[in-house]
Amino acid sequence: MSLRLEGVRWSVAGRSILDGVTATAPGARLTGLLGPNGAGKSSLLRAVSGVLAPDAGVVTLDGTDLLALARRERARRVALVEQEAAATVPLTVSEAVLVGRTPHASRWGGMTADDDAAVATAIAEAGVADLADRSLATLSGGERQRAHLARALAQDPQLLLLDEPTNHLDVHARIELLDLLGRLTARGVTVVAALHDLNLAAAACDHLILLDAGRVVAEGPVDQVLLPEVLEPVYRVHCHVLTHPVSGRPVLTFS
Amino acid sequence: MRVAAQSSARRLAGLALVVAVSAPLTACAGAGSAAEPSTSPASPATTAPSADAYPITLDNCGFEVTFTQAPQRVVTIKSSTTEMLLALGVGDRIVGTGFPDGPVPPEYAAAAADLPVLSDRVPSSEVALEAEPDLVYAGWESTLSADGAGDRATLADLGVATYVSPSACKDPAYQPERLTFDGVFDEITEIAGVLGVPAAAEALVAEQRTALADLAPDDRGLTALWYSSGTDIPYVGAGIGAPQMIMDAVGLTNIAAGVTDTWASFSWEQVAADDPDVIVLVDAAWNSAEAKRELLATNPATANLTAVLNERYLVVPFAATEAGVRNVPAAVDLAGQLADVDLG
Amino acid sequence: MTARLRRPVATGVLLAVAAVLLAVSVTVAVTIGPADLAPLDVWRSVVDHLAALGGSGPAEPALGILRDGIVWEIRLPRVLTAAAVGAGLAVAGGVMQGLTRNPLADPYLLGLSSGASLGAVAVLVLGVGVLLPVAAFAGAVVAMVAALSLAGSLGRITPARTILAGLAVAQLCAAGTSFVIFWSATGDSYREILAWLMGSLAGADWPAVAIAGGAVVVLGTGLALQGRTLDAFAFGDTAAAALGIDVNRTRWTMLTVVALLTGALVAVSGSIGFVGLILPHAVRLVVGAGHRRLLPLSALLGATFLVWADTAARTVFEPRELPVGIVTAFLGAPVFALLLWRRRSAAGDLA
Repeated sequence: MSLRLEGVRWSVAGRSILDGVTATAPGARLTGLLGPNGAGKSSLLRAVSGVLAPDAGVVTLDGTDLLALARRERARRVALVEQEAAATVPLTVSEAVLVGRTPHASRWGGMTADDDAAVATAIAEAGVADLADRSLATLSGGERQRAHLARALAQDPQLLLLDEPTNHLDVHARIELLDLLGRLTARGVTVVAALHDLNLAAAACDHLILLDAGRVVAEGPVDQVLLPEVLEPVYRVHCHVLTHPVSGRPVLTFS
Repeated sequence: MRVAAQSSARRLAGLALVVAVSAPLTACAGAGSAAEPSTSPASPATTAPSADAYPITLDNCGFEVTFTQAPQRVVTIKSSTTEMLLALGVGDRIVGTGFPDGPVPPEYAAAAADLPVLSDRVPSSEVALEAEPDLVYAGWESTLSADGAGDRATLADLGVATYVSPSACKDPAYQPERLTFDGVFDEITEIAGVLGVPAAAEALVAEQRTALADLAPDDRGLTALWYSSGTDIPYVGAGIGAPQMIMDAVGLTNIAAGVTDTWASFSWEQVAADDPDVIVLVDAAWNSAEAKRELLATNPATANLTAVLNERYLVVPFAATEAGVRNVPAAVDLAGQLADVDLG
Repeated sequence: MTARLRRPVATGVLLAVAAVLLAVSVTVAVTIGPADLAPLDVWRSVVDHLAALGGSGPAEPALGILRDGIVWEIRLPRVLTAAAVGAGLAVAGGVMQGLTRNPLADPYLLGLSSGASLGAVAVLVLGVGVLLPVAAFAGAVVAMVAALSLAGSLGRITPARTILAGLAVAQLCAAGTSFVIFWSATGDSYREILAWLMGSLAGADWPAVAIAGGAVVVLGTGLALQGRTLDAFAFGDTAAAALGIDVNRTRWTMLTVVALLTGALVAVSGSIGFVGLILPHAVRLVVGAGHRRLLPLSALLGATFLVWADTAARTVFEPRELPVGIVTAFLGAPVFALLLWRRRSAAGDLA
């Protein structure tokens, strides 16, 4: 289920946001999408999930042209968790997760056993079972994030896109999230997450794509992308790479 | 419905300023012409007011008005007031009329022909004052407001007296509990006193009393609906106003007599339940008797009323339904129409 | 078994109860009125008429033509119209609140009631020779087109633009209406206009039942089935798009359908306020904000509410009648205040 992007372009109001993005996110792996603010990470995720229509380019998932699919079809394969998910949604967690079944629902919205099962699985996986009857508005930022993640999981996607998913999470919750993403990739889901925490990317990702000003400036395994000579021109800070004593993965410090 | 009352008030303040500047001129002109007594050729019964009848101070709808001499330049608003002056033979003192409810009765048509019409609706303060009146005589209290012909206190300060038909007072303390012909006659007498023509009033009242006495009320105990306007919600003559007074005089029982108001909104269901024997239709230019007839016949809720099926309709002109000199003639006419109604 | 089924009361049960409540309300309301008619006589009259429609039944009404007419020509169409209008306004209100993600939205958001008022006064005051409901509907449609054009003129139609465009159109139409009334209204026409502007079910006849009922059954049902889509909208346009919804087209379509439904209702009853605003909130308090339950329940409860409000309007001051809009405002305003007060502590929860 690898995701392939070729020459994806998008501009709005005369400004070019995505300037020919070509990259691959390997199937059943966690790919980190990196880049400074304004690099186009969120826009790229939206383009893949169909929220915005790119001006040019090809996006394929396991060979299927995503841009040519009908919206509902695409939504059955691709799920997106936004950075700042709406806080004032008046639904309970269970109701919110059920919304994730919308692409799979029949025309007139009847509930099926599949829906029940998917919702239950999603809630369990995201770890929000004890919050199921709480209203979204009463949750903390981290709890809400997990609820939205559960909603995305209920879509039963082949490709899961996450935009800065660790923003509201404390250390414990971050680790838990990464564990969850690991379980998802283990069962075949391709995950692409936009991250600004480079150390997190270093610790968890299998593959990295580095964006700057709408273009891919580096792509590849972690130790090929997280190098000072690659990062410094993009982030414009001095950076040192150390090696984690236990995992062997890179650890970055900045000045 | 959001009529911008506040910006109106601001506009009027501006106007008042302009008017206040020209007021002294008005007052001088008014004072000058009131020096001579006036006799009206239309009514030989008019005599010059005796010097000690004045000053007359009245409590008119809660507002104190003082007349130091007979008004000579009158602006009348609403047909009832215009016709009052014509009936008292002092129509030549009218310098402007406003908001007529319909044509004047034929007997006054000649006298009314040349009356200057200030407005089809309530004249604005400026227009009313342009006619340089010393009295504004209004048929409805609401016309004497800042965005109408002028606030009473403001006009008084400008030397313009104001007078409202007492039966039209809005304040419950002044509104008559029940309008009676005696009440109407008292009104005629009072305004005639103000105008300095008491003898004309005496004659008129005597004439109307006789006509009323000669009127034999119908003795068949018929019920009636006084239908003024309204389609979905009928607006009818209720228990304490002119409609009730007239219906009592002609011997009709008002199905809305129990409602303590002059006119009131009613319900077709109640009308259907009461099934009145006759229906009195008020004929106004904006809402004709014919239109009401049509409505009653086509509305499935009313089409089966006895009075509608048998076309037992009596028609009365709108202007005659306000307290004034036309009430008695209207009652007489109505009695005549009623006598022709055959219940067979 | 699943988290979802931990709902205390199943949707089906709630709908059934609400439907029964409505049926009982209609049956009782039709026996209430200024005229003194025994309930059994009223029901017998209705049954006889229904039988007559089917071909059988007595030739002469048992109550006598006039009193029978009170039941069949005045009370029954009025109660049925109240039910239809209440249902339609409640659904329209719920949908508008979902589409614009704004709890203060109501069916008249696109300036519909103001446009309809302008059409109505054109007939009532200026004497334009068109049937009142037709003129009112035309006014509503014109307002809708103007508001949607204005909202969409800058590209994508968003909730904020919808609200603002609707406000602009509403103000313009209200100004026009006020002008016409102030300039041309004579004699008693103020009363008719006021009754219409406040919203009144007096004079509702069988054609009114057909119009309102037809609109609710066709358009309202269609809207009520869009519950899942509206739930998705609650998460924002991006999330809705990511769930496979064509946000722009869906929003346009639903706004138009709501406008047509509301236009039909307003044409029949004038602009009755608060039902479309309050009912969905009241129902949310009980069953939560999931639209698949909210919309049908709002319809049923809205119908019941308006049936009783109208019954009060025509009997509390009998034999005089109030426009029902006054009753709904009296009931609605304190309820609204109560809702706001209850929500004061729920941070950010604007349901």
